[in-house]
Amino acid sequence: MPLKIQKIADSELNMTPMIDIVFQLILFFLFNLKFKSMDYRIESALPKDRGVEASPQMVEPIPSIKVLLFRLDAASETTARTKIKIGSVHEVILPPYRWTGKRVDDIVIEKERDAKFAELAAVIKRIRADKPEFKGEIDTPPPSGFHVPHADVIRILDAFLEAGITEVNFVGAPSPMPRSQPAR
Amino acid sequence: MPVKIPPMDESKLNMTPMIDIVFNLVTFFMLTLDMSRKELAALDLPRANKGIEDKDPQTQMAKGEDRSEHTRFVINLLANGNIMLKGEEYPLSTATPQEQHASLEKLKAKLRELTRDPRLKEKDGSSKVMVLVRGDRTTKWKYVQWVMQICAEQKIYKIHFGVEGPPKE
Repeated sequence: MPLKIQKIADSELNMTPMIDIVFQLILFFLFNLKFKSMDYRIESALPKDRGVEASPQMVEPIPSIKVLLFRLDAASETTARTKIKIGSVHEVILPPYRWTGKRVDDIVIEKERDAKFAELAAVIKRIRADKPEFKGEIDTPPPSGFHVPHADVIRILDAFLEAGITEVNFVGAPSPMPRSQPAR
Repeated sequence: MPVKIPPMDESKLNMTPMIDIVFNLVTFFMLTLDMSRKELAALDLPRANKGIEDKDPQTQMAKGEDRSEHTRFVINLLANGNIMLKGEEYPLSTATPQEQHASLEKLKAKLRELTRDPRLKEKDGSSKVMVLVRGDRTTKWKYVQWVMQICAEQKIYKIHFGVEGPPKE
């Protein structure tokens, strides 16, 4: 007898259980996937003898490459800019940067700063070549020093690290903390 | 002429596009919901090239290692001038000196509470606790100085500065 090949009826694929399986798969990956951290950190250690009464003079001045940061026109929103002095040998006045908050524009600003701070790191490296035992010192002298943006101070710390100096001290008396009663 | 209303067939719901929508929804939630990083406030960290990759110390603990060696708290200095610790914000740069004093006192008290446990202290009395200072780029240095001072008062000497790494080319 000739074999009858049955026609396989086209059955419709029932999609409902497929969604449940997709749910399960995605939940599985959701709980296992950890996103790579975009954050980095610079580790530092505060000196243990630092207390409430931080004295401007250390017990013995440590021979260091001193970098001082000032803020010119600190009160102005448009023209405030940071002045950076490396000892008495080099001085840079950064243009008044204003971060926009938009990543695309800020990357351009940061690239420009990369160049400037690389220049500063090179100067520090040059000084260090002559005096390899020198440590680093970052000073933000009052009154304008307290208004220097965090980003600039961190960049200087970074410049020291790029020049190979890992022992960097923040010197100078910190800005006085506010009192509960205004000083009469 | 009477209007003829054509009889409506029962149409089967096509599930295929429904799966695509589900995919999209889940992808959206995967990218936006991140419970573990609530302590890390949204701000623009300063750029540095020599930072090391920041992994949460709790995740770096090997089995059996002491939790006290890997405890870290995060202090955020936001762009709006507030300071944030453990999800609570304290006004700083926009506040009057009295309010600033109050904020700093609350911060000191909270840090004292968090580091009170004797297991978190070294033999010389200093704290084993690390503090990650995440300051916005525009934060004035004096506020960072105050944070460092408050930490030093609580004998917290291990300070990490949160930075943004170089852009991945």
